[in-house]
Formats: sequence, C-alpha cells, structure tokens
Amino acid sequence: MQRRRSLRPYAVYGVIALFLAIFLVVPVAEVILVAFQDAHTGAVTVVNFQDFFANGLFRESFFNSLYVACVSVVIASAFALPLAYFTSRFNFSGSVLIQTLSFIPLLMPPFIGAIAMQLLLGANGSVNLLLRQHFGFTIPFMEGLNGVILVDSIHYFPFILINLAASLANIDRSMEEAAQSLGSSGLRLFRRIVFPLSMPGFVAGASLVFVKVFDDLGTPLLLNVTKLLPVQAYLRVTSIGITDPMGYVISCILVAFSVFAMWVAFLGMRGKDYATVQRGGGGLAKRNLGPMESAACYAVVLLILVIVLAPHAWLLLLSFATVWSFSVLPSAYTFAHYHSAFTTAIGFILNTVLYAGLAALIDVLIGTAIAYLGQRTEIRFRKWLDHVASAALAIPGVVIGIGYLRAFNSVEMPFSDQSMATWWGVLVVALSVRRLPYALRSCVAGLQQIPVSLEEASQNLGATSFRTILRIVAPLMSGALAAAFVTSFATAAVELSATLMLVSRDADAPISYGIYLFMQTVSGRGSGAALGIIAVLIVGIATFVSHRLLAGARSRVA
Amino acid sequence: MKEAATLVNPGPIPATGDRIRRAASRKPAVRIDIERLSLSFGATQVLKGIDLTVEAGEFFAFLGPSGSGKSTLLRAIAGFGPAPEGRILVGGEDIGACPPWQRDVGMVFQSYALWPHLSVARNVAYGLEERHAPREEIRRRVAESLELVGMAQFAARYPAQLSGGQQQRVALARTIAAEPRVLLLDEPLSNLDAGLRVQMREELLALQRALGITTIFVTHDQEEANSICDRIAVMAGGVIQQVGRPVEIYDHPGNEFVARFLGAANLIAGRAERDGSRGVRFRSAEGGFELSLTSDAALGGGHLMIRPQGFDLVEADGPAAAGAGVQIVRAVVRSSEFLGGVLRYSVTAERGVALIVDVRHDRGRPALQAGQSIGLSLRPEQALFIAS
Repeated sequence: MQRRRSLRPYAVYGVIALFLAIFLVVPVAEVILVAFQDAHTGAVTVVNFQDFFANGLFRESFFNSLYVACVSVVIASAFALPLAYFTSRFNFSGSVLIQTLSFIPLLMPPFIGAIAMQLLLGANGSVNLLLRQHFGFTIPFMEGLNGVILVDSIHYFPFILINLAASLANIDRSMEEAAQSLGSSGLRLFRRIVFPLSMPGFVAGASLVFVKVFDDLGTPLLLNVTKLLPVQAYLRVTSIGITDPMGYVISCILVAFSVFAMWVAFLGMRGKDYATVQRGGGGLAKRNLGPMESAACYAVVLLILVIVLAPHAWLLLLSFATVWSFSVLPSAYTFAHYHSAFTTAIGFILNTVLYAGLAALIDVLIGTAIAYLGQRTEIRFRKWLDHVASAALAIPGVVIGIGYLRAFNSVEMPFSDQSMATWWGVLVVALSVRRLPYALRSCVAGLQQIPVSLEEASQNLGATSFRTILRIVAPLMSGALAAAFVTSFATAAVELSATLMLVSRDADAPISYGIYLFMQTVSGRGSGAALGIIAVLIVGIATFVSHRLLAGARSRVA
Repeated sequence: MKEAATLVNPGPIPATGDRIRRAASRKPAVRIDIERLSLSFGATQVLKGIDLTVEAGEFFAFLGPSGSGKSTLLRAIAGFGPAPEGRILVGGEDIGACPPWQRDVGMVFQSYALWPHLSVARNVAYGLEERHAPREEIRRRVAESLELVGMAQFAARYPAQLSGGQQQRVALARTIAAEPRVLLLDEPLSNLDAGLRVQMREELLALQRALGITTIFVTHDQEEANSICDRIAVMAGGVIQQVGRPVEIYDHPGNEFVARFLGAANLIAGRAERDGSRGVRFRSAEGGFELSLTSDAALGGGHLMIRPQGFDLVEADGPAAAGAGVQIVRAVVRSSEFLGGVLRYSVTAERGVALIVDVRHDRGRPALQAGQSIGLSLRPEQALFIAS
C-alpha cells in the first residue's frame, strides 16, 4: 500500500542543491584547493603555507589580525556588559534608551563610520585638537591598528549586547530564588548562577564579533591599515592577479578561523539552551536603584552611548560640511553633498536598491523552500541544504569574492564580451549567498511557529499539499517572510568586501562601493558621507519595517 | 445501541428540527475495515497487524495509554504519517493509495488546528471551497454547521477571540460542514477543563446520533470512552487488546492489561485448578491464598481479578452470610482514601494478600480505623480468573 509520492519536492531540492553547489561550494572548494596546490605543477602541497609563514609581512598581518579581533572582542564586551547588566538587573528608566540606541551602530557598516571616526578621534580630529589646545598632548586613538579596533568594536558590540541580554532575560527568576533560598547571595550568586546561565549568549555574541572583525576588509582599507589578512588577500588578488597562491592561502586561514569561532559558539550553546528547560523565564528579579546609584548608572550608560553614537553624529556633520580640516567642527555648512549624491551618484543608489532587492528575493524564495523541505518532507539528506546554506555564515566576503573570480572568470557572458565574474548578476548572487543564512533562520523560525496540524487540517478537508501551502502556510508565514526579505535587503545593501572584489566598473557599482570610492579623496568625503547617511537611512528604515512585521507575525500566530 | 441516544439529553445543542432535516439529507453511513495494518516510525514498529471493523453509524473508541498507537492508527486512516502496510477500507473501498485530500474522512484535531488568519466562517467554509461548492451552498452549509454546534453568532470572529470550548465547536463545525463519510476525533476533549469536558462529550454524542456518521474517537480516558461510545478497542503496544461494548470489556477483560486499564482492580497472580467435583479453586502464587471460583472458570496460570466494589463489608467475626458459594475473606484495614461516593480501603487479607475494597459512603458514617479487623464477603461471580 504505497502512497504515491509527488516528485515536486525532489525537483525543488535539486534546483537549490545545484544553486548552492555552483555559487557556494565550488568557489570555496576551489579557493581551498588552490591554496594546497603547487602553482606550476598542480600537485597537492603545503608549500604555499610555508611560503606564507616564511614571509615577514604575512606573519605580521596574521598576528595583527588575531590581535585586532581579540582586543575588539574585549572592548566590545566592555561596552556591552554594563548595558546588558543594567537593563536586566535594575528597574532603570534608561533601559528603553539603551535598547533603542544600542542597535543604531548595527545600522551602519563600520567602514562608513571609519572616516567620521578619523575626524573625531584621529591625530587631527576634534578630540585631539581640543586636547592639544588645552592640555598640550594627544591620544593616538586611531593610530594604526587602534583605529580598526576602535571602529570595529564600536560597531559590533551590539551583537554581544543583544545575545547577552537575551540570555539574561531568559533566566527563570526561580533559578535565582532557588539559589537564594539555599543561602547564596551577592557576588557568589552572580558567579555561580547568573554568570554561567548567561554564558551561552555571551559566547555566541563574542564569537560573532571575533569573526566580523577578523574578516573585515572595508574598515582597514579606508583607514589605510594594510597589514591585516583580508587586506593582504585583497591587495594580492587585485595587484598580482588571481593566479597568485597567497590570496588563496589567506582565504583558507580566514575560513579556518571563522569556522573555529563558529564552532566555539556552537560548543558554548550546545546542550545549554537553558531557556527552553524552564517555562516562564521572565528574567532576573529587578531591584530599584537609589538616586546616587541611578545617577552613576546613567553616567556610565550616557558615556557609552556618546562614544558609540559619535561616528553617526560626525558622519552627519561631515555630510553637511563644506570644508573641514584642522578644526573641531566644520567651518561652514551646505546641502551640496546631498545634491551631488542625488545627481551624480544616483546610479549607486538605484543599483543598491536593485541588487539588494533581487538578492533578498532570492534569499526569501530559497530560504522558504529549504525550511519547507527540511521540516515538512521526508526527503533524505533534507537537512543538508540547511547546513550548507548556513555554512555561508563562516565564509568571509573576501573569500566569496576570490572564489567567484577564480570560478567564473573564464566564463563568458552571452551577448557581451564581459566575464561572468564581473557581471552585475553575479554580484547579486554573491550578495544573496552571503545573506542567505540570516533569511533562512527567519524562514525556518516562521515555519516552525506553524503547527503541522494546521496543514493536516487543510489536507483533511480536501486541499492538496500545494493548495495548502498557498492558502495556509504562505499567509501564516507572510510576516516572517517579509522580515527575512528586509533583513537580507538591509544587510546586502551595505556589503562591501565581496562587492569590492566583483565590481568591475563604476556604472555597475552599489552604494557601498560608491562610498568607498568617494571616501578615498578629501574632496569626495562630503559626498561619501552624504551617501553614507543615505545608506544608513535605507538600512534603518528597512530594519524598522522588519521589526514591525515580525512583531505583527508573532501576535497573529500566537 | 440506538436506544441509548434517547437517554442522552441533547442539552445545549439548539435547532433540533434543523438537525433532523440535515441528518436525513446526509450520505448513508459507511463501515470501516482495517486489515493487517502495520506501521513503523523508522525502526520502531508502532502498529502491529491491526484487524478491526467499525460498523456503519457506530460511535467507536480507540482507548489506550499514550504510546499505545491509537492516535497513529487514527492518523493512518486520515492518511497522515508514514505509509502503513495492510489495508484500510472505507465503505468497502481501499483508500490506502489516496493522499489525505482525496479520502473524504473528516478529522478533528486535538489542538483544533483552527487557522488563525481566517475568521470562524472562513474556517468552516474551507472544505467546501476546496470541493468547489457553489457560493450559495457554501454560505448555507456554513450557517447550518455553525448553527448545529451553537456557534452561529461567532461567525465573524477569529479563532484567537474564542475560548477553548468554542474553538472545539468551530473545529467540529468545520469538519462536518464538508460532510465527510467518516468522523475522526483525536482526543478532542483533552484540552478542556473537567466540567466542560463532560458537557462537550454529551453534545458530541447527540451530534453523532443526529448525523448518523461513523465516528472514531481516540482517548486515553476510560470514563470518556465508556460513557459515550458504542464499542471500544483497547490498545496497548501497537496491538488491539480487546474489542467490545464498554460493560462487556469492564466485566470480562480479556487480559491483565485491560483489567488494569479499565478502572481499579485487584489482580492476584496464581493458578486455577479443578478441585474434585465441586468446582474450580484458585491458589495465589505467593502465600497460598485460596478462593473458590465458579465452575465455568478457565484453568491454568493467570490472574484473579476482583473489582474493589466486588466485596461486601461484613462483621469480622460474624456468621458466614447466606447464599450459595459466598465466601468470607478476613482482613485488617491498613489505610483509607475518601473518594466522595465511596471510601477506598487498602486492606491486608489472609496470607498477606493486599487488596483494595470500595465501600459505599453513607452520610455521617465514620471511616474504619487502621488496624481494625473486618470480613469481606465475596459472591463467586464477582471473581474472574483471567488465564494468561
């Protein structure tokens, strides 16, 4: 009594598997393969890695990258820990302020803020100018690696804050109360109960920050710091060419460290999803603050917020400044940069909307299909699509870029003499592959919220599985799908590392490339800043919309 | 069986005239035959060769503990879950190869599975829309179905705005609006609170009688099954342990499991052997506790079953009560449990046998104290030997 099985799921599986194979697995595999190949004979060898570590510049870059990533995690934690602790522990009226404002850095990729930070904290930035005038000394905030560390930790600390705050909020109050009733209190209670229970969230956030900083290409490029691994990879490939094995060796190292950090996060989370063990949650007991304590908390919070929001303020100033050098604030203001952004640079904006929109569309379609195949069918290896697509999270943009150049450079596009690697469509695909993990999680969560019985009830009443997807699954998932689209769109709109590698001419470039281009010259900085503000607005509006959609979706299904 | 319907108060279900007209217009009831049905989840066999017939128009229950396979069997009839081996015939037609949407068997889910994005009316209309019924007919049948379950005034609401009992009624209306050949109910009352559960089960029975539709009801609650179902299949370990009318199964459990699962029972392991010409005598495996059984009792190894209410309380040192074959068991009270209508005593009988005994509670009468000696009289037909 074999029920007739539809072939449609297998066809969809095949198409997605092919897409992931061509645009993720093959390029990355090729990068790794080339790193282990002799450049001339093609034999398998580790000689490229020996060459890498024999070279003083590469060795220095390697240790610099590690140093920058580790110190950034420490500084980001220093920003995030007090904020997370204050909001979860005290009845603190600043909590809403923290929750709202601390997300703002995420709206702006760090490279956009890098120049603004130079103007604020650089050798001739506003702060050092004031220090020199009044105290006769300066602080090298932005010298060399310091600049990268500062810019990246300011921009990425919300990852730790969000994860840590979520962990703290999920701790069941009864856990703390049980410890108290057994005689534990104060610092001891924190060390033995609260801290271990919030560890998974902290580890997840910290490893994400590590990966982001370790792989960041845009910030060091704009700050002119070249002795870092992603920059070296980029420079080797763009100056010497795609046959040089060093770019591939660096890519391998980047991937290895990303995978390692993800693995650490996984170990931290595994079997420690304490939140689901206990129903209720509700977070720790909050206590009221005295007036002095409250003032102290506010002082700390405001200090942190001033630091993390300063790049935005200075970027805004820069976008309105006519001339701004060797002065604390701009000497005159103008709208000319916005005018030029909307006239000469309108192509960047339109390209961004087109590319990010298409990439997000691809992500939502593939994300939904993978989620459905994984949760609602019996296809063998159905979870593999999810695993492979999620693995893109551990692949730095530089590596995707190099992989695409390697894999598609020799493929000619029809009807033009362009190579496929530099065709704008491939950039769209690169963006969609890089952002697929985020969209996929949203789709998977959206589908998980729909009990299977809702679909069974539909089939029981005579609707085929396809009609059921159309009439029941799709409407119930619409909020999650829209959120997935907007998340993908917002993050794809400001992607820089793969974009830098794959854009061949200005006419094809999106806004992130445009900002990078403008920011390199002093005369273009104003327009670059204006474009940056426009990018922040695009991402900000998209993020706001996505939050609203998700909240709407949750309230309807629950 | 049909007489039972008249005993039940249709209660809160309104529109009796409507119901009868509707019942008359329905398709004739069909029977369900399940033949050698086996089903596995991976390496675990969940159903092991089920053979079963549900008669046309019958209200049938699958009763068993969780993990017994009862829900799996119900879902297999609806076409959900892994494909089973064996045959399922509805009205003589093998539906094994049909996908769920072609089976025309209506199912009410334990969680109700109402679609949160559709109003009550749209939920109920769904099955008819999928069957491409004319708009006018859809409108009429939605109204009728909602009327039938007393939910007509809630048509414009959304499921989230309804209470559990109201959702339950809408789920029922949604299923019967499509006029399926068979009604499958998967623990439909388990999410309701105790009072509502009793009311809803009476409504369910009244509705089933009115529609005359073959109905299978899955439950783990023996009281629920006993009170409304014509026949019960007791399931455990993926096997049907016994099929029969509730009273039949209660009084004549086929094995130790069924005896234990349907109500409280004293079960004493031992052997029944012929005792000269006088009859059959039971001797427990431990302690050598003995009792005479009726002469038609089964022989061999097994369990002696006595329901707690099968004993009557007599004076400990009083004379043996009159009546053929009545035996007196002497016992000492250990503890008592007040259950409302009855007091349940745990006692230690002769030879150290532990028994539970139910004694009707009369208003104002104090319970027996621990340590008190009592006599328990037992008529021979109250003791059933279940050979294993």
